[in-house]
Amino acid sequence: MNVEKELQKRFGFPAFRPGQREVIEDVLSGRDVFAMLPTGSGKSICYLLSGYLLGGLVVIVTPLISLMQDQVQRLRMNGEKGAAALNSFLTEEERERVIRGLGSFRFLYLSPEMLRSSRLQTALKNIGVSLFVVDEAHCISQWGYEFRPEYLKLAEARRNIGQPPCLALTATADDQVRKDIITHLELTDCRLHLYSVDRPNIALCVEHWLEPKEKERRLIELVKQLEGPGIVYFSSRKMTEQMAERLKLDGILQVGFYHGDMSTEDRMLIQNQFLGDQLDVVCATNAFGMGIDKPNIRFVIHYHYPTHINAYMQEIGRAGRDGEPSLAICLVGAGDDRIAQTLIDRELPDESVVKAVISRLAGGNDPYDIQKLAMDNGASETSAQFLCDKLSCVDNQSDAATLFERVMQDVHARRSVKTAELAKVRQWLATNRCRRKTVLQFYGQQPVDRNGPCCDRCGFQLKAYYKKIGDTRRLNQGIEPWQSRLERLLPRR
Amino acid sequence: MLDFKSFYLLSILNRFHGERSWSAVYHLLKGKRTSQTIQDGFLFRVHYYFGTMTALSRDELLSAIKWFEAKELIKTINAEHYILTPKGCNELEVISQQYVIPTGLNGWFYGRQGKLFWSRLSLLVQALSHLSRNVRKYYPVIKDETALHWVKRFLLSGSLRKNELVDAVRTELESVCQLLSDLEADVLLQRLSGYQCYGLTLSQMSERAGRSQEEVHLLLQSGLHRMVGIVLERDDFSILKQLLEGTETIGLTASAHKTLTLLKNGLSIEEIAFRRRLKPSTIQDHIVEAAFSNPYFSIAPFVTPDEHQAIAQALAQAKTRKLSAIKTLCPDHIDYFQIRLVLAREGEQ
Repeated sequence: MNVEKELQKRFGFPAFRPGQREVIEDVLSGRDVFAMLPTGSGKSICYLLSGYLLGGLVVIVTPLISLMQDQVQRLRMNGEKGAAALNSFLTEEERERVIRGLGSFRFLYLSPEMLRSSRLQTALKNIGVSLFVVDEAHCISQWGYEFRPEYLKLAEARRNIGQPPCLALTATADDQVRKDIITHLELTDCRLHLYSVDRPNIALCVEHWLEPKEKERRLIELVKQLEGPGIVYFSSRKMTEQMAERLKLDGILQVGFYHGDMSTEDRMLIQNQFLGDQLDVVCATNAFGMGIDKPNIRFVIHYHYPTHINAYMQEIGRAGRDGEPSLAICLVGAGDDRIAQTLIDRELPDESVVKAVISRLAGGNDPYDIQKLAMDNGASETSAQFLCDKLSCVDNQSDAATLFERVMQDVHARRSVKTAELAKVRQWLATNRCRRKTVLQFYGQQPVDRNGPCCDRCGFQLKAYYKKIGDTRRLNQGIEPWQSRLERLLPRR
Repeated sequence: MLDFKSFYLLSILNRFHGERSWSAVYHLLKGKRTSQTIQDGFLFRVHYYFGTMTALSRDELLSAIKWFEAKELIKTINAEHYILTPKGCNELEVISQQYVIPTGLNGWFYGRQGKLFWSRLSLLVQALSHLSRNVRKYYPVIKDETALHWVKRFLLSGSLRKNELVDAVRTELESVCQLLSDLEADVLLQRLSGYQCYGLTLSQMSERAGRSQEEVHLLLQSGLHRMVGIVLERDDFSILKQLLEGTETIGLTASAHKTLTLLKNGLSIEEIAFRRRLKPSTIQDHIVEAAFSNPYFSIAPFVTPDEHQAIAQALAQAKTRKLSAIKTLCPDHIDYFQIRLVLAREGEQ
């Protein structure tokens, strides 16, 4: 069997990226595999190609619903009709359609909650799963920044569906997290593939600006000078809009914004405009970029730094997927520490929400209800998810007070884990040493071979990343008359 | 100077003449499908605006109202009921020179249908735009799985060949757009995506058109509702008509629909209430709702010709839509249910 030929045939890639072939070969040999491959290295190719070669149904457990829908859409775009997603946001009818049609699918994306359904487990067992993929496997670890208790039940689910071989994937896991993944997923005789999280073609740079006005001025300057396309990340939705507006005032016309408050339709439009090179810059919250594969992103700027080093690596990892020199700049300002702390607080439910939800729980603990209840009480999606994970599996015996105590204990424990992780980010921002070496140390790794610039500490020329050709600004026209628009959409032969 | 959103909110608030509290405006714009909202909608002739601002929040509306009050454009006549002050009326008239509420809006009847129609139309145009260039890879602009399925099936099952279908859709869109206002057609088409041609977001359109996002949003809906109405009424839009397959125009709430079915089977109000385990007054609500949304629905089984006439006279005398005021002008044996039914009929004039 020629895996290269299959890669060419299915995806049109002439060669594997580092790690892919090795992982696939071990998966094909029927063993459990744990693979840590950096963001943007084509993790999904590992299970997709394996799936094609193994035949049968591949189940992929993935934590984010938006991500799984994007994946399915991308596969369909690639001509794969046998892809589907099962999650709690589907209607009953849609879920039924997927479960009834299980036999006709090749790739089934699942949220961990869905996999608890014994009906689904039985159906999967009867059909036979050829590969059990756990994506973002670090979610299984208490030490990971995205701990999802539902992941702890995956080993049991896997047994119930006939113990198919397992492929656990993550982009970022330190030693402790790796151990957790292997233990909790009950990987036996497991093959390890650990590749560096280092992305050698991305230069790293941190700039400190005390005055907020200065930081803003610097952002405008950078966006004007740097070769696009690029993404600027903000922690607040409002700010993505304000800064896009600000950049336009400064003559940067092809700029858009993207955040979770926009309608799905508007979000898709921005994403497509960016993919189609109609936008040079998108001001976005971290909701943007997941699941889109744009090879030529030249820079990622953080206007607010994220709360976890993994998140930072993931976000800058969206740059330079084509292997060309790219740039990651983090702008740090005086008030940013407080913003980061607020972000952490927002990821966890506060006392009043916990109290409100527990008091209205009234016996039923359907995960969907809990999440909705929490969000109705003002909780953020992440904190609602957290609460839902905690409450959906409790027995109904315990009284409200005990339950409250227990949940709040968990909240505090999570907060200290998160705060410790935030400290790592701050340590990295403040370091005088090589940024690359410092960040890789968190993963117990060394930089890979490189020939391009490294980071601001090692010295590099920002100029090398400036626009090559003069300003190619396109004039912002008004609304196009419908007649000519129609002609462009559906041209006459 | 008022912006478009204030103009819209103030206009609608004005339509209620202080006879409903501000939350009637809220439920109307949010599109809350209850008997109360629909009755109010028809009574005050604002059902066109049903569900046209689903993104509006309570706080947003409240702060707009507080602002109107502070500017002395409105005043409260009793708790949470507002009327326009002379200054407010004047302001509204002046601002009407600049803004118009788009005339194609028909939220109660075409809101839901329009939404579905739009998802299918967007996907169809995007698919054909790519197919006509033999491009198969693109990201669908609409994520709704059901709509995706529908369009996929439509493309596979059609009798027309690819290029014929492209021509047919273009021709139909061209003719239907000629029946919209140019502005409506412009924003609708600007939002569609195709090959190397990306739809604009609300904020992008607002910037380019020099109109607020709310106005652009209403123009989009106005164009859409008008389009759906045209496609439904005429026979020369065979493809666009297919996009409405499986959708219904009924403006009834689901519960009222059930009641009507039982009513048609000859059950009385009490029997239906018993069968459905609902209060008789709720069943009455459903019947009133039907009377409002369907001009052919006969109210004769519930109101005798004499009663009808008596209520109509009271209505003419009262010059208000307040039920209690009307009731005092009617003979004692007439109840609120009957008054509401007659209102549904006479309210039109």
